[in-house]
Amino acid sequence: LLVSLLLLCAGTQLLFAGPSDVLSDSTYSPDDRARLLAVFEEAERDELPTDALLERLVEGLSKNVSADRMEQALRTDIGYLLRARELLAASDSEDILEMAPAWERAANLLRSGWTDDTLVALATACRTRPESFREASILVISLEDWGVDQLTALTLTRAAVDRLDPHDFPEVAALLATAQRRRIPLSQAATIIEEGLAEGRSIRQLRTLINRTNEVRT
Amino acid sequence: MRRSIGLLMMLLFGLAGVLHANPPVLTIGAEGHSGIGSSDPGSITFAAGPELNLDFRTIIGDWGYGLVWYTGRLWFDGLVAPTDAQSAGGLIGAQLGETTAELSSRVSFSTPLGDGMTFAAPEWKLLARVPIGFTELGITLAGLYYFENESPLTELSHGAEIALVMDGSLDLGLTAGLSSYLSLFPHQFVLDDGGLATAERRTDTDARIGLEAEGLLGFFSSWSASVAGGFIESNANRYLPALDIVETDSEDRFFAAGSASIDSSVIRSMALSGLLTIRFSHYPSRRSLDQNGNEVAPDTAALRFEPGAGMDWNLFGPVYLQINASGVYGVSRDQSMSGWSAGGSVGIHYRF
Repeated sequence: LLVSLLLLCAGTQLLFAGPSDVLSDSTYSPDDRARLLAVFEEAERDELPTDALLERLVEGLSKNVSADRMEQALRTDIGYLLRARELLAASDSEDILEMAPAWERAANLLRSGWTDDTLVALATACRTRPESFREASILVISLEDWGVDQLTALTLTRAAVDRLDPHDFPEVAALLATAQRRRIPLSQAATIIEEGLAEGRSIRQLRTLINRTNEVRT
Repeated sequence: MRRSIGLLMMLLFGLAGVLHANPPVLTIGAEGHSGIGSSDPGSITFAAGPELNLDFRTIIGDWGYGLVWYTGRLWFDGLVAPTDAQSAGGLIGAQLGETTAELSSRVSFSTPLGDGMTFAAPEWKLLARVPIGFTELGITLAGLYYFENESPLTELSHGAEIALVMDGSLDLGLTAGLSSYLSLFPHQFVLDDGGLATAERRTDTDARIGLEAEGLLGFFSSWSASVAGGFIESNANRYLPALDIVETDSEDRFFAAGSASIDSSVIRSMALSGLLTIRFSHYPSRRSLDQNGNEVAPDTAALRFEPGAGMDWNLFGPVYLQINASGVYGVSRDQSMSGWSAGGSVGIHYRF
């Protein structure tokens, strides 16, 4: 119980701690602290979300990263946040910008190597349902990791965003896996799923159709 | 050929409404399987032959979906003529407001051309799922006719099932159901006290209750589990030559079964699957017999374990390798219900 309380206190402290609190506990020199704090102030002036930057700072401190490298990492993150804002705004996806975690997610996608076009395509797909942006990005990444080309992954994700609860996005991947076992070419499986969702077919109906499950008694 | 089939399918479904035509999926291949069992452990069976599979699926307008398919296999096991196993079926589903309706049918058959058993088994199923609050009510009517010329296995069975389906989120789906089937065996006759056939045909009534659950493990793996139990009441009896008696209610039995399966396709080119089914049956009025037909217990209980595993590997492009293994291990005081068997198959398929 005591350990739990201590952990809870530590977590609460971190939750409410700002960059100055975190830096005051660091081994950086006063000049370095001021320099890093200035980076945060710049971010706030630019109206950027700073939660992810703070996490980066805590991570760097735990790894004893030098102040120079720390500043460089923070400025890189800020660059991705600015780029993400620019792209999201250009694709009329301001709703995503209003959700800091989604904005930070977009920046992380750029950091991981996503092209501007890919991010814009995903943001456009989520324009009507910005709250599904995070799950949609996970679906695209999962499909690509599995072997689906990016265009097909984005097409299926757009269909999923339009019709499914974000919690059910993995069902699209599961349908593709079933189609693969049924020897259905990927392009045809994607077409059936995309058209089926667009026409209001449920996942259960599509699963029946793809998996050929019409046995009477099993 | 594919084009002709595709045109035919397009015509069939095109009549039903707006058509989103997909080309049929045609695969050909060859498969071999081998088996061994406790009845003759020194003998291993082998059979191999070609197979063909054809599927056609389509979304039909804004209201439905459809599927037709055919699978055919030929088995050569050293006999002069091969044995064939074929099946064909279709399904049409419709979204009627919030209600889903599906009508499906298939027929499995083996032709008289081969040396094997000739049979035909048409089946049909009508299913409706009606949303009720946060659940769905599933109503199924189904029937099958297994026809094997003059064989006691010939069976006509019809039944109904009612189920509650809870999968507001498909990450975890639950189905609880009740079902009942009535089966008539036109070539099995109830015996009189002297062991002679009467004019009364065997009739079974099957009532069961079941619970199924299924879910996803991440994005490309899924699991399912089910338990079911019930009772089969039958008017069948049997003559026991060693005891010279007619045993009444010999086919009445309680049964319970549990099954669990997992499918995983962590990478696109490979899928692995595993399945374990455990079945328990208790025949309260059926004597357990030894191999000479002598009574060893006044009732019969049997436990069966049925494990299985499979691998589906997309070797490259349109070429697939499929490996399956399965087994059965039965435990019972009744000699005919105990024993084991194991088998495996290897197939290679080419998709056009």
